[in-house]
Amino acid sequence: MTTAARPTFDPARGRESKGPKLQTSARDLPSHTTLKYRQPESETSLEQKVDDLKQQLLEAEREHFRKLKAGSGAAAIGSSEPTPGQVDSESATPQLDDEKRRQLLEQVQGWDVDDINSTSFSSDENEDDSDDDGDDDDDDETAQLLRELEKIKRERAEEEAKKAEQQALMEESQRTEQLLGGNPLLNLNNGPSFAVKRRWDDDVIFKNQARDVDDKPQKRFINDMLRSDFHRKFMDKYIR
Amino acid sequence: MADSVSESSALTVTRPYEIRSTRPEWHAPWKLMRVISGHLGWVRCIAVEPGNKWFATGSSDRTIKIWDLASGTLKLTLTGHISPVRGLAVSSRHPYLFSCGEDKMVKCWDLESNKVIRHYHGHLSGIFSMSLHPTLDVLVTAGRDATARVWDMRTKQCIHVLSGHKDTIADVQCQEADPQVITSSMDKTVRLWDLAAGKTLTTLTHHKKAVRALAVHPTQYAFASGSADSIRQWKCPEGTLLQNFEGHRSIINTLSVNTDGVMVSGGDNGSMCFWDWKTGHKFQAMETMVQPGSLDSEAGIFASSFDQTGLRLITGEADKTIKVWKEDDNATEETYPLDWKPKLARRRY
Repeated sequence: MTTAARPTFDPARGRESKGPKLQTSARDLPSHTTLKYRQPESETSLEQKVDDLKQQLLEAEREHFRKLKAGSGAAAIGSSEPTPGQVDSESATPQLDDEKRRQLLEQVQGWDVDDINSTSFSSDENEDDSDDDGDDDDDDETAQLLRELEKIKRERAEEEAKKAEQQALMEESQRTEQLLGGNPLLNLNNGPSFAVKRRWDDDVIFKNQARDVDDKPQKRFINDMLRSDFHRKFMDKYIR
Repeated sequence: MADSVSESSALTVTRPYEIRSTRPEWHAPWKLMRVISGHLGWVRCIAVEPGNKWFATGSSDRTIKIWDLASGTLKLTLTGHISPVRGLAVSSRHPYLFSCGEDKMVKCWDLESNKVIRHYHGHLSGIFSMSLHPTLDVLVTAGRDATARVWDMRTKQCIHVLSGHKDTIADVQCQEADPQVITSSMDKTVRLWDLAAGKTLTTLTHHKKAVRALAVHPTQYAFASGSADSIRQWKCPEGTLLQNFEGHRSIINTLSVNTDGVMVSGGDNGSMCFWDWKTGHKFQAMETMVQPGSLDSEAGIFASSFDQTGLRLITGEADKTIKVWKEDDNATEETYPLDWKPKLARRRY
């Protein structure tokens, strides 16, 4: 008779067996006779390593929560997409800017790189230079170059400002929309109605007479397979 | 009369040792950060990977599950054990995961192929705990047959059978320096072992109840043992009692220490206590919440582990969830003042 079902009140005590084994299991036969090793770690101090791990963990968690927030935010905002007009204007301006930038870049690439270097960064050397005929040209070119650079900078700054402004506008509009649409009490006409739905048997005297009949048992989680509603129902239906 | 006066002046108190109670360090209180439900049974053991990207949990539903540490999502489920998984360890030097269970099996999983590649056969009964040696290619398992077995990782041979305990061994820990193996048992003793000879170095008999939990400090040369009567801290090579951690009235299933000097004890009734490692001051005590849908009696903590950095605490619980705890970022010493009064002497018994 098997003793598998009996409790083992006095479990077997292990001890060193000196005797030779007469049987060997297939699992005990030699296999995988080499150990794999990890890449040897670089020589960093323990503290440094722990610091790195901390940074990595915090960064990974931040990333995870940002993703979560982005996921839920996209679902909520989904309805308030930008209108076609907005999209057009937005896409048009960068195109223009791109065009301009390209032209400017072409202009700049036309100039000699050595020229720029010598003029802008080693002007004091040039003063000592005996060549006087090239000097005026150089000065002219530097002035032009500086002007161009200035222009580019200015345009970039304008572009930045424009972008920021648009961003702010977008956010503002989203916020107002949220404010206006967020409160269900303020837009009752197109939101969910709070009117109590009357059933046909609301004014009948005899109703809900059947025992144990929930028209809709609420779904709930029970942290035990044997006590769970599914199991209960299953047992009632098929076993009893 | 004059005699007595002179006598009393002669008796000016000179204490044998300096009595000074040190003020404990302030630690931020810990709070629940995440609840991961996914196991279908008690979560019995936890191991965090050395790279700190994921952790593994073993459960009474006979599976090992691997979770992403940062997001808490399930990455992998390993099946193979046919009884509850009771011990897990990830090697820091090999791409291996080791698991042991109540089915007397010790398995070595290759993490590159996620397959079992080795079995270590020999235990006569359920295996309740395991630990890897930090520098040698050796693993130690211990369990219900009152022995701890030392295995050669490569050849699967049993190097030593550490017998001497009179009852089930509940926990085993390994460390680099002597004593390299520490076991705690249901026979109320803690034994320190000489790994080379396979013999007991010291037996600590201070506990009055079964010692279910051990925790070795990651940097200090000391360890703690927890039983239902008290938690005790020991100094390592010879096992001298350093101090008691008093005030956790429960069966203590698990202990964990991090490098910041925080020790956690998890109780069988779901109580958790957070201690200052240095002074033994309990700075926080709380109860875990069971997940909705479970009984109140299902609060219980079976396993706990800090991640590699000590920023997160992972606990495995009786309500089949894994909970992740973190320190309260907004807490300061002003908002959560230290609740501590100096006592005359640190009691040690």
